[in-house]
Amino acid sequence: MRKSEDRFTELEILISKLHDGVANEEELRRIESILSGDPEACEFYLDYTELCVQMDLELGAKTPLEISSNTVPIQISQSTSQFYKGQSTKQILTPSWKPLPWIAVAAIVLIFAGSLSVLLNKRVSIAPSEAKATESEIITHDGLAILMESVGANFVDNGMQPTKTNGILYPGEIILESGITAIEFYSGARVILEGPAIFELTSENSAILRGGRLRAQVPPQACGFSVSTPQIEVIDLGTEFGMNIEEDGHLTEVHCFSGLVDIYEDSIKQNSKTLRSLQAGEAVRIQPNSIQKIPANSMAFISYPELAQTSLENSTLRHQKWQDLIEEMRADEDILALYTFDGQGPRERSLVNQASFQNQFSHGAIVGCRWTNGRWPSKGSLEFKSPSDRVHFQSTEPYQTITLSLWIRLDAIPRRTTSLLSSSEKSSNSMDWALTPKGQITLKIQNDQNKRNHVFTSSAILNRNMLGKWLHLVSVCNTNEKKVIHYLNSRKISEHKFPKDGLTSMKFGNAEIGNSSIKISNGRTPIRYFIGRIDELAVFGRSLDKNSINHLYRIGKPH
Amino acid sequence: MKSDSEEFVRLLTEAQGPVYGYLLTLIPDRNRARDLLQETNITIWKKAGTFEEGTNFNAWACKVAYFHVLSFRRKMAREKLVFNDEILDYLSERNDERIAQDAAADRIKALKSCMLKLSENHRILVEERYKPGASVKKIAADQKRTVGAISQTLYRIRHNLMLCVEKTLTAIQTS
Repeated sequence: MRKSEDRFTELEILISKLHDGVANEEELRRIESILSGDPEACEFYLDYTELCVQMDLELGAKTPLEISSNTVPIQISQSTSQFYKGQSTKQILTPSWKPLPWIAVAAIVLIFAGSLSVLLNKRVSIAPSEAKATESEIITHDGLAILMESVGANFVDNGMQPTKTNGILYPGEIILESGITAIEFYSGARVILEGPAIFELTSENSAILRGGRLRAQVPPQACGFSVSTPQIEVIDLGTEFGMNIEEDGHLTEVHCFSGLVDIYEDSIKQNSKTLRSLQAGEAVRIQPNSIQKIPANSMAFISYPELAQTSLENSTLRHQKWQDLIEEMRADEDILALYTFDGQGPRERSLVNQASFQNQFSHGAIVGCRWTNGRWPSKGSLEFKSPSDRVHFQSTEPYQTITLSLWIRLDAIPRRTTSLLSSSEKSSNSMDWALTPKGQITLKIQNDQNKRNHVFTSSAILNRNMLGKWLHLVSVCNTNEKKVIHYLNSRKISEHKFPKDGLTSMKFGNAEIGNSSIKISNGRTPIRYFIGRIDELAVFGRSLDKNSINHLYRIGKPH
Repeated sequence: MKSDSEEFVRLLTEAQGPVYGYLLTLIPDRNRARDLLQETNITIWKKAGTFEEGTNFNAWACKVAYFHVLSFRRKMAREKLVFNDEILDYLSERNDERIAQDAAADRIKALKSCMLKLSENHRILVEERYKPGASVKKIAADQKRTVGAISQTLYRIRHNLMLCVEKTLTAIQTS
């Protein structure tokens, strides 16, 4: 049993101290180093913490958990709600830990009910489980804008919206820690946001900028596009302007590059009266109690041509670095197959194996799949989207140790088993590498006698947030050390022990990338084609360690 | 979903344990985890309308909580006793998966039965430890023992509870 293993004794002592609030900094760092790269230690930590939490909840303070919903007062006196209105929510809830009084909870509802009515009526895509996939797909129509392009963009996920390139944006906040991103509102207004920035989308034609810098281009169709800040509201009358907020919202600049911009004081008591209009070339700097006129400075805000240039340079640079990595891989004497999907013409139907030393894997024969863009616009990939799509190759040698490294982009969460790489028929030591409908990575190998297969399946790791993103899958199979390890994006997902005997090597034979012809017991072939893009497959004849896998991932990832 | 609906109140009430556990995993400090739970509750109320009925409320609530953890981390970047990003990300991810598996009910049942087996002294110590506002230092001072001694005893109690829970779970699963 895992819990009683001695290997976690030190960890257990340290977590116990941590939980009792008597661990020091050094001990915390020690816990970190034990947890780092060791999924089993992490599971142990999670199990232990769960136990502590349950004890806490069983014995500890009355949390709202223990207050039955039946006790919620339906009527709340006006005076009580007024009392709470005078305080910040922090004040209401923070004085040490006390049961959250329902009267206060109810007051919070009152406080927020008005200002949040807009938000409450919007739905945001949260897809915690695959089972809800259909519902989530329907609600994409609630989107307000789309993320068109990002360069070096680092988003903080606030759990409220999907992010990243080509992601649809819903009402809610985007937190851009760094980098640049281009957003197109459904109204037609376009915004370049420079991080660090906090930007909240409120409608198809309006947003709130809480911090950071943006440039907006507003075509006539989107006239009236507005951006509010904590101090003002800027309404564009068909033009191009820039905004910048610094010093925690105490300094706001508005620059009008062309056309006309109206700035309103965003205050109810002033009844939204016009503050001033800016013409092309004019700008204002607004601070508490002062407004200063300054010349507009277009250079201070990234323009679309600059963004395109930066994006191209960035992706070209990454593509080149990856090509250097490919040269490094070709020089590796253990490289068996290296299908780079790079530099091939759109009509080529042979997938070139670039591995220079060995001749054990044939070139691939492309069936059905079409060439498209890979991780970078200048790189190729193959798109798999029908039951016929596959790439055939041959490799007759058996291998005792193999590392499979694959870059894929999933276009749908598989609802059935989806083949990554598979022998075309079952024989001694034939292999089958696939994704399960539960989002697990699985490697099956027939035993030496071809009587049964051994299955090594990871925990469920794929989810809808990964759709449209390039993912790096690595599985290492080592018959000498008798283990299989799965990695996703350089993170070790699971490790599996081999049977004692009966499994001494692995063989591809006639095999397929992105599909499988393996027949089931009734002699028919189930549909198992991959849905998405594949743009690199490397096979090494040794186990790659975590550092090497991390190296492949770091240089190979698109951004 | 409306934030004043009975269903929402029920879901929020039931989510308190899982979300607190989730927070405590990432920010291993009881008081801070509880402060963050409070802040998370406010956000959940505010964003009630964005919750999609029929989906996993606890998973959604934990996502909201994670946002608060990140902003807490940003504020406390230089402060001690916060895990690094790599661990934080991984633990959060695994937590999401564990919540989706929803296996806590059996563990709670097992824990309850195991706590009944504690000796009188140990049961009292554990109760003292988890009282609101309690701390190991305070218990040590009250009992005129060292912090190390109390912490050591608590370690042993939890160790035994953990073994007992595992044993009980195995028995449940194989019965």
